[in-house]
Amino acid sequence: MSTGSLESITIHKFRGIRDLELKDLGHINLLVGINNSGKTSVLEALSIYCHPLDIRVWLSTARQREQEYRISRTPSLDALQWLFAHDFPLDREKLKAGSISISGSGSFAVKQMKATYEEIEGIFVSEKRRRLVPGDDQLAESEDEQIGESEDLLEFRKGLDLKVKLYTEQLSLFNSEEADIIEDYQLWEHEFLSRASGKREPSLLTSVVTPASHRSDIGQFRLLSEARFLNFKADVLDLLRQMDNNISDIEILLSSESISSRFNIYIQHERLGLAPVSTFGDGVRRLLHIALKLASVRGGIFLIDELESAIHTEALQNSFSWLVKWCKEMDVQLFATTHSLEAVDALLDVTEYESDLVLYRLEPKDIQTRVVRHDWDRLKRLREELGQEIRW
Amino acid sequence: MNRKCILIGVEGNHDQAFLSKVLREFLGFSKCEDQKNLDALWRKFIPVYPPKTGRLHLRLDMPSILYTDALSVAIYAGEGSRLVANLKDKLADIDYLSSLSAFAIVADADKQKPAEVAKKYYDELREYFPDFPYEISETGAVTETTPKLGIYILPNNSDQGVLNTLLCACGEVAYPVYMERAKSYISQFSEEEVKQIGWKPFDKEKATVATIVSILKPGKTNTASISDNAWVSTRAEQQILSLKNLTIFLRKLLSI
Repeated sequence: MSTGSLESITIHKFRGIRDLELKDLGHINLLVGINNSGKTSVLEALSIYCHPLDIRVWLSTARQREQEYRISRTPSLDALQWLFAHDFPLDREKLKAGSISISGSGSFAVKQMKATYEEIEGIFVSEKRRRLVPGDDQLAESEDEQIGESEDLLEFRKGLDLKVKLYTEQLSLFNSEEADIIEDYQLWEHEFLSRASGKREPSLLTSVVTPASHRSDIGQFRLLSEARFLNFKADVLDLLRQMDNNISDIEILLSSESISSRFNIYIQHERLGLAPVSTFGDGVRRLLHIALKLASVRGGIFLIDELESAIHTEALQNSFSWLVKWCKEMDVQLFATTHSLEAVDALLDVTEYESDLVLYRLEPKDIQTRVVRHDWDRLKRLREELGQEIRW
Repeated sequence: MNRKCILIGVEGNHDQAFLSKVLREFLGFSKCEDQKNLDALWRKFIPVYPPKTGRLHLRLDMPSILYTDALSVAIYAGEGSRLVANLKDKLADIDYLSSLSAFAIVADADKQKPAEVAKKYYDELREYFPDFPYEISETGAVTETTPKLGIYILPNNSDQGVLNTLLCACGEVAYPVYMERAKSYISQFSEEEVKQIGWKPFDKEKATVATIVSILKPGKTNTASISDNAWVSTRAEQQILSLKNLTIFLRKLLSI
């Protein structure tokens, strides 16, 4: 049985992580560890590694932790900079450059990705000035004429020179020193950064579930409408019944009161009738969100931060049984973080083989993160025979 | 708390109680009864019961933890033949090479000669501790590596026997009259009877000790008697060479 697309991953440099190696990955990979041990960073590193040239993924990954905050968001460029590793002790000077290095093995073509950035500064014509000058050509001409005369119309902006190098299996056979793909990006603050969207390929399909992403409706309808969802809609209903036995169907409908032609997901409920999904509890929304995301990532990598979030302990086992079944069915490799011993025990109960479930405990040390790996066999003995605490 | 941590594996609860008593009686250790005195490393050794094993009455192993100002010793009792397998699983879950200052096995020689038992443990543990000793003298063996590694085979590193062989010797010092009466009682059972009951080698010694325990601590277990009665005493240590050698072994292991 295939264990998934990735066989191992080493995060040499990423955020605060140094030389963290996850060997012999399984189908379900559970990350545990104390707060700030780097669990979420591992998921973020996987997102970047699987989409190394897609700047939109870089940006969404950089902002992922702020998803639930509507205010005080870190500027995009700053958030991007914090994805990179910096020399310690960190100061303003050292923040001006940083690096990322991640390598992996498995069926994904990219075997190593390295990225570096350098802070740059540029002079731009302010928005006010842009409004005065209609076209790009005229803008350039006009700049030349007026620099010095009206400096208040010019502004300094921070930017990043981002260089990404990829090493792939095929070309590395001939020359392992030189990168096979090198891409440069120049990103400026106050610009609509997703304009610099980069390239989608090479990539490995990923889907991310954060602790709060089920509370946002964005994208849910699109996911539900995808034909592939229909193949397992009946099973999704079974999953949702873990939370509420009165759920009988899921529908995509246009509300009669809607003036924006916006479709919404409705749940057919024995007692409530047809009710929008937003009126249901966190657990139902979370499981539906996980199910929809899973459907979108067939053959790829599914990243769930805080697997147990919003799911009552009594519902964990059946929910995870469903998740494991469909991860296998759709050849999806799961990476999930958890703080919950009940979640570990529930996953142990619903998995059977050595490669089914692997637990990695991250232990940050002075210069690197130590990783303790337990395969399913040992994890089962540790928990069930010895009652060992394995989260720290 | 920043004590050096020493892990000692033993095969059963009686060995655990005996070693615990030796550490308290001769080497100045106190038993850790309060979680606030527990060193961080041993917190992982407190079982956290899995919720649905299907074995509702199963009790999981809890090591005896003993400490001085500078040292913290955990005596882990595996389930006899499962000792090494359980220890390996537990060691795999901790950074044992840097967190332990010593690791040792105290086993008995009920089925094999002590040298063979030592070799068996060496073979089983060398994956985790390549320097684990297998050549034993009358005081067992302790390496000078980091962590220190040791093995002591009961009753005396040279003869076959079990903990109860040593306890009988202790009983001769502490309770000579009771020992006489117990042996006389046990000897009333014919060979045919004990064969029918299904005694294994060294069960005679075990029955003798248990007989005295039933008098010293009626209704209590051997572990309670080993802990509370006078089996292990300074007088016994002075008179019984193998008990003295066990203390020497522990002193070497603990660097005291």
